[in-house]
Amino acid sequence: MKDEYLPVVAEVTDIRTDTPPGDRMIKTLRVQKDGRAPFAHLPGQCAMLSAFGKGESMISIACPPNGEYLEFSILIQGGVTTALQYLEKGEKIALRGPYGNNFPVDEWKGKRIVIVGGGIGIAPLRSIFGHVVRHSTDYAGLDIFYGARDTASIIYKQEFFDLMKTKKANVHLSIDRPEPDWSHFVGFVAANLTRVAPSPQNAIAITCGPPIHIKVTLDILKKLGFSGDQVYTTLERKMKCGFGKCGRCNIGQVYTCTNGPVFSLSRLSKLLPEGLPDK
Amino acid sequence: MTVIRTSAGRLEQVLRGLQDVRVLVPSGAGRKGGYVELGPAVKLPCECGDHTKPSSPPKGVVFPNNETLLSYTLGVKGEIAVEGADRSMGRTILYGTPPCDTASFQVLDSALLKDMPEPGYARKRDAFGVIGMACSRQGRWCLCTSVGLSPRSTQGADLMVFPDGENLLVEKVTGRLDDLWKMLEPGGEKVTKEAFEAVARKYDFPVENFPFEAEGLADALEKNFDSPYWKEFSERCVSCGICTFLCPTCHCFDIVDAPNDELSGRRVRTWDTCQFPEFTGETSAHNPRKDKWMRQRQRVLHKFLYHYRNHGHMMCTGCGRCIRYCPVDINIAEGVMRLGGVR
Repeated sequence: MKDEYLPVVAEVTDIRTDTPPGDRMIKTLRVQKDGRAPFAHLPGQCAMLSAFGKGESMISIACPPNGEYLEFSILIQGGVTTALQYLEKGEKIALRGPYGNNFPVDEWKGKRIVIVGGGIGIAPLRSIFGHVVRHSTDYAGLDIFYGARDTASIIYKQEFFDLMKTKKANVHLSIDRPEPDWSHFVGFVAANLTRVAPSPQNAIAITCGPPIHIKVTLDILKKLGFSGDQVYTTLERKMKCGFGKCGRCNIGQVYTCTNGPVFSLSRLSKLLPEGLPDK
Repeated sequence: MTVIRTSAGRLEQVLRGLQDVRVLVPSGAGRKGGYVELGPAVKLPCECGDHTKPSSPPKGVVFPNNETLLSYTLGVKGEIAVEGADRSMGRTILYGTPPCDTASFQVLDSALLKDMPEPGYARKRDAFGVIGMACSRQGRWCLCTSVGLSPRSTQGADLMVFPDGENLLVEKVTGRLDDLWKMLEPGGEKVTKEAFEAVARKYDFPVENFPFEAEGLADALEKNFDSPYWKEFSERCVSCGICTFLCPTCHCFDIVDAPNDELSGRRVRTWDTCQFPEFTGETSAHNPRKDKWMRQRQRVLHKFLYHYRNHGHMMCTGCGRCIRYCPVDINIAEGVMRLGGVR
């Protein structure tokens, strides 16, 4: 029997510092094993990253499946992530996974995809908008709403500007307060979403971010006419095992690690309200 | 149904004569006790009841409190070497467990083996069997019949023993202890269904300390998810977690690293409890169960609602330990009766 706790040892082949050192530094690690992705995954899935001596953390896989590598955008905040920030290019990293369910990208073929990300919540969404960009002919369009507190806190900046230039997506960036030379929206993501008001016609909206971001976004999407089956989110909970045994990530009888992290709004509204964004 | 009648002496002879098998029996009922190895100085239990039930449940035999998952060695240039730990165990048989402790293995099996099995539990479970014993004496904290079991229930047992004077009736429940059964069967006398019932009926007494029943309970609890009573129920709670550590079915765990030094150490799985605030505390400081009433609600609903819906039986076997050993007298049965409807 496979020992689920045994991680794969892989290599960190690239490191990008997405936001500058400070109290909310974000780094993106590219991980490969022998020049390939350490394991196959689907958009929306997660992996358990090790920092030996500190423990493990469940981190969303922040890239679409490509066979070549996995990427993780990590907000440096706790013991494990603080240890991971000191990894250097070429060093080893241990990880296990993939865990959780995935965004139903095949069901969504032919539809317009609307992404609404706040802060580090854009990381898990990159696996889905990256997938849509890679398979753009399968989908009817792509809108990305993403906001951060200031320009320095925006991650995947170059990628978003490239997407705008190549017109592969309608990217609606925002920052919370005005800054010189910022030609995009100023205000919260919610305000930007209300302003642009994407049509629910043949569309799927996916949101992730801090609990308040998710709550406000779900309200706006409802007002715009999106039904419960057209709205998805991805949740996070403290996790230890990743495969439905350790008993802490449950929302009622549903385990976020195995039955989630991806939930449609209609499925979410059937769960007991414990710790959900609207409580 | 296969039942034989055999003498207590003969069963003892077989159990004590087993080669390379560890036989564990309940010992030290009351404040301190557990399941101990049947050595020459240990008496084989000839009856079973609340008075023989040790304070510690048997879950630790297959699901130890502290278990090494792997060891790691790091190189100064960032190299990583990981070695999985051996989590198997030698052949082990529990004997004389009361039906509540016996049924705990049905619960643990469904919680830990379903879908992706917990690897250590799965390894040990393969080498493990349970000989349960019908219970002849209830205690004031017992609630097995309320949770759908009874003093004669065989859930979780591989063989089940019904004491009958100098003799024992042994029922074969699963094939897991077939080798032992083959040793017992030739010397035993086959028992008819009627003769078996005549004995088993003695163990059919009701346990009515806390009268509630499974029918409709989960629905009622779900409806009362937002009840203000949860706060009252948990007001005295000191979040010590003893209700879960001494529970035969509670199985939530933590995984922590135990470094030897900067470059080597072990990763360890330990029991954990939903009663500790940090159990669900996230790095961002968000905690979906930030108050103790939410954590007590989780304990009760995990047992009587979530596990019940996911697996079809309650995650409580009615042993009463969480009530008996709670330092502030919180009574899970009272909570369930209050919010789940009394029959």
